[in-house]
Amino acid sequence: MSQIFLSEIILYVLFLAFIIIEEPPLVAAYIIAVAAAIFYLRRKKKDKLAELERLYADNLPKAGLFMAVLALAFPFLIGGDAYWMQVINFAMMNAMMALGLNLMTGRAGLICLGYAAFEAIGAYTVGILTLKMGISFWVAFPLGGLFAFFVGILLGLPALRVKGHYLALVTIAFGLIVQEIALNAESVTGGTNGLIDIPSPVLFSHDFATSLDFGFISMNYLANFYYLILAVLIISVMAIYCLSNSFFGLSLNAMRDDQLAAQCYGMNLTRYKLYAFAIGAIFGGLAGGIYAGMINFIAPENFGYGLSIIIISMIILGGLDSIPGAIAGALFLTVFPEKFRAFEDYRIFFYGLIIVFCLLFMRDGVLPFKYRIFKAKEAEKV
Amino acid sequence: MTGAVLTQQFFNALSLGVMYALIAVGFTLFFGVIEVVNFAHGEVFMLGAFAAMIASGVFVSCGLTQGSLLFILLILAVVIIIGALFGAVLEKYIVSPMRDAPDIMTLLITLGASIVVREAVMLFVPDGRNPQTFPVLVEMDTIHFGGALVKPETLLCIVLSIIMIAGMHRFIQNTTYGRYIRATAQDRGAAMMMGIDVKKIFIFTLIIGSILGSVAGLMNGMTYNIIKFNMGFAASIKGFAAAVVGGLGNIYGAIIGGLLLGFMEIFTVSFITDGSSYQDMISFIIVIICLVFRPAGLFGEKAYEKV
Repeated sequence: MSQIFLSEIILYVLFLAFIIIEEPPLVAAYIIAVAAAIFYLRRKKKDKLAELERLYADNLPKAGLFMAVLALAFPFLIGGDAYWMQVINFAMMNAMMALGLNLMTGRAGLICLGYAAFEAIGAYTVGILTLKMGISFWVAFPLGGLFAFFVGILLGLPALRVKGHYLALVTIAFGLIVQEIALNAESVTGGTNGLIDIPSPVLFSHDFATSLDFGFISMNYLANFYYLILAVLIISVMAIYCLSNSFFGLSLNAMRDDQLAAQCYGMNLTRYKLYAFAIGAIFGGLAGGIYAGMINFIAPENFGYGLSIIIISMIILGGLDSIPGAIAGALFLTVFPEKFRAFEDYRIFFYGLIIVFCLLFMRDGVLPFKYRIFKAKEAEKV
Repeated sequence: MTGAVLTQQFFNALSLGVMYALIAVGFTLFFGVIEVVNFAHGEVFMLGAFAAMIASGVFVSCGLTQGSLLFILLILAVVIIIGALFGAVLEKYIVSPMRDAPDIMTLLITLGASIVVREAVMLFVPDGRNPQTFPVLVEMDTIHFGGALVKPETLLCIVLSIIMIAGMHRFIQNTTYGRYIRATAQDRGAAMMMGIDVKKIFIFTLIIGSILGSVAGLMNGMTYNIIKFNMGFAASIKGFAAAVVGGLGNIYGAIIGGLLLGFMEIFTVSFITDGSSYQDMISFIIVIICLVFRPAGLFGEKAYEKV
């Protein structure tokens, strides 16, 4: 048990250190050191790592709870610094999207190169409902997820007939079509100018656009959103974890590995494909809703093809079909480019390199997916 | 809509269509022979245009006269060499290491490679972030076609691509290597048993496809006079869509798919009010509908499950 707490604290401190150090050479040295450590551990201490993994698997609720407590303390440790709060908020929203995409692409094997469209749908739903109709954020936010769900089903419909490479084209086209609608339907979406002055959420008469006061410390308004996103992220992780380990998740894996065989075993591919798209889309929609509430401004170019690629590179770096991998990939790939703000132009170049190198040399990602270990008593039940 | 405008649009559509067809043939070749979808194919299109631009600058400073036959042939040679090099490097370092990986991995790695190439051009070509003016390679007067004005470049492009496509057709149908390529596409295992060096054929296929793509890029530069580092993305999506509509793996289907897409796009723009803002959307929706009703494309073989 103490091993879990210790390893989590070490990871947490490493992450904090990663945020605090600023000079590019230091950051580079840090990354090389951590990469070397990971490499060393995976090569030489395989047994230890396996043991630790087993420990995590056995004590997942406790490990998760402790991680959540650590995350709650995070804004205090960086002193409510506005810039880094913003970055972390984005990182967590990206993590939600990576989780959703991971369900589609990693678990169900349905490639989706237009995932940003779902974020756009969530963001525009919240934006239009709160700005033009005066509906409360708390109603519009879940509606954004719901709407993304239905659009996910809509995207799933061609996916029923279309497979593999053809599906890649359909999803790219889908992403571009959604963006083009947002650009051209000016009366509803504001066209190129987007939607401006989307109201911030208000909870129990506490406006999220005002600073968060704890009595002894007063934090930037972004801390409000930090806790909101953290709550939604934790719920998302739990939901995705339960889904992945249910019969549903197992079926998706079966479908990914061999559609024909899965069908021969009586699996209803139609239903599972639609569900995979629709459920994966929800998380994009929710992330988009928060985005609209937090930034108060949305425009079509925020949800382009580039974002879809960035989300894909997150799940590739973390390891396809791995939940901790998706989160780690999202955190790293959002925070890391901020370290090299001076080299802003190289950002997308760098994402491309990550995709290529990960696939060439580390196909399973940093935190590869582990097949379920069914314990004895569970095996008896089955 | 007068006849003159119609003729003019017809030529525009034809030149766009043959350009898409050239790219689509590459996609379909790669899919038919190597069974990969090469998302980096759009970048060879962009590289072809940039190579032509840079080469023309170099040649002019070397004292060659613009528009002379030698000048055009040299530029064409540079474009072809760049295309071939790109294809060979891509196969060697990107596609072949992923041979035993699932399809999705190959697709993603070519996507990554395309991002790297595109961003590299943006970062390392001087002023690469902004659109570049493509030099005028041939100086000729606009041709009148019964009242319609047709740019000589347009005609040149149409002729050039017809030559390329015909040449490729002859190569595939009538030469030994063409036969090897067809054999590999039909049955890789059997081809290997017959003593065909399949790896060589793979490189060969990528080189041929990439040459077609880079020439298409040159044509794009000549017709529109403006090139940009991200032009490959749209080209690859359109080319892939054309190949898919025609049926992946079917070369002639890809040509027809390309022409179809070109005509569809130009006529959406010219006949529908406000069509230009929905140009891409309409063609994509048609592609999706087409895929839903004929998942293997218009001319594709019936898809069957390989077990």
